Amino acid sequence: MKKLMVLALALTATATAACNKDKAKKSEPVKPAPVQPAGDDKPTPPTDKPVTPPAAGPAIPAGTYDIDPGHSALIWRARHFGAGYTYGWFRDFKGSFVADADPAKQTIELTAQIASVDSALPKRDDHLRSPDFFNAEQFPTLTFKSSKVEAAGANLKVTGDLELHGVKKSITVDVTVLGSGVDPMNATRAGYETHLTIKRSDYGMNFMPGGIGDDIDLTIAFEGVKK
Amino acid sequence: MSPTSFQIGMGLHIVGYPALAATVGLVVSRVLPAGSRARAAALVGAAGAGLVTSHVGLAGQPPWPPIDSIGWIPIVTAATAATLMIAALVVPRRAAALVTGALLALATLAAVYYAGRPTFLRSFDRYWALAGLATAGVVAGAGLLTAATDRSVRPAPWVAWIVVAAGLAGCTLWSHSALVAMLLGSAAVTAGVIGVGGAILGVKDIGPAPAGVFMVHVAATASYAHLYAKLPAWVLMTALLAALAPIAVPVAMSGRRRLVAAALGVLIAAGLTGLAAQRMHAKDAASVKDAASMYY
Repeated sequence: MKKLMVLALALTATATAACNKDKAKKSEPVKPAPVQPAGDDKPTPPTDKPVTPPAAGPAIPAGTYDIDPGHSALIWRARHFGAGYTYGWFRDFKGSFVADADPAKQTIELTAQIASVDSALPKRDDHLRSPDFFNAEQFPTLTFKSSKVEAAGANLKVTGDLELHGVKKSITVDVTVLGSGVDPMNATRAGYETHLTIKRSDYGMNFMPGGIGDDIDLTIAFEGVKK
Repeated sequence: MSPTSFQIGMGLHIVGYPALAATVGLVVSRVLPAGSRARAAALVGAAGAGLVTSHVGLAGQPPWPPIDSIGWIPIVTAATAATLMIAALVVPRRAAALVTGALLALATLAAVYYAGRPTFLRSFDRYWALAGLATAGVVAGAGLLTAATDRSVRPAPWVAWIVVAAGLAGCTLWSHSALVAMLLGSAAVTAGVIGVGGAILGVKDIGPAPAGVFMVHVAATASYAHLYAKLPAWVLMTALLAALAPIAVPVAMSGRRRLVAAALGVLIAAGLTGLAAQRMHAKDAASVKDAASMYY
């Protein structure tokens, strides 16, 4: 009986403490994006150290990640004669990124092999690889390399060089931090996604300006496996 | 069914503007004294203007330095035309053939190099084969042009070159580059204006220099198509033989039956180019069938 009373008191104390902690949490300002220190794969609560700008997002364990091509995609779409959209993607899409508590230490590097372009029609893919569009023989890759990463609420604002068709241009994109998890093989995974629009004419791709839209919408979604 | 603004725009860029540019140069040469240095220079300018206009209109004005090596082609063509115009004005007549031949050889070597520069910077092996064949073809074609036209009908080689450029355009279209196909097709337009238009206007003294500018331009474009648009090497070889046929046949026939020599040269050129185009078309038709017939 004495043991039961002690257990009940302990449970009550724990529950009260937990409630108070929740109340305290609600009244606190928004915490920064919780990036864990390197080597710790388990999600941890937000730290008390303020990081500017304040943010609250999914936990991304700090470390270097290799992009898992099987769970990543670089998808594009282009207007076709002012009517519909033509969609496609690059089957060979690789890269790596570094997650860190300090956004300034984060980096993202992506590479797509132009020859792997896939729009579901093999002859159109041949045409896309030709000098009319990507010129895959002369410019075999599309690359992005970040130069500056900033926190933007729960997400990131990433500035970097996008190189396509031999032209390198600095762009800034809002990147959504999707989250992280541990797979059955005990590997830590983290994912990001961004949507952006580029003008193909900015990259020297001028063929059929009246037929194929100049604006190319890109969706870049990548999941990395922590090294 | 009336043509759309898109179709009209394409027509103007492939045919209209280059034809206009070359015609202006041809008309200028027509009013200049026959056999004069100024007329020779104007004819070179006419060829250069037509070819550069079509290229810039279709592929866009290249940045400096060009990023895609296709941008080097109009630059080299313009430089070749400018150099040959100066040569036509200043080089003594007895040295003209030698100087023109030497300049065309250098121009072809440069044109092929710049058209395929990204590839040749990685590996120079393919350069000598491509540039060697192209230079031999250009120098032989331009060098023997006068001898051939003296032994056949004057515009015959130009008619054959129209067919060769148009056939190469078809082959390139079936290797899936509409842009390079249009560039070759519009080069045929310039050949038509200079060769056939010149005959109509009575400009009889079209020498090897305008032909050389045309051949340098087509050699560079065809080399580019081979390197970056998967145009097979056998198509290039066939086109080279076809382009030389209207030169070789009259020279070989030594001036006998000029009309037959001219017709035979054109027919061989058309036959060879037609066979290449037919084979490319068949290869494309036999490849993977796409769900949509019109995928562009």
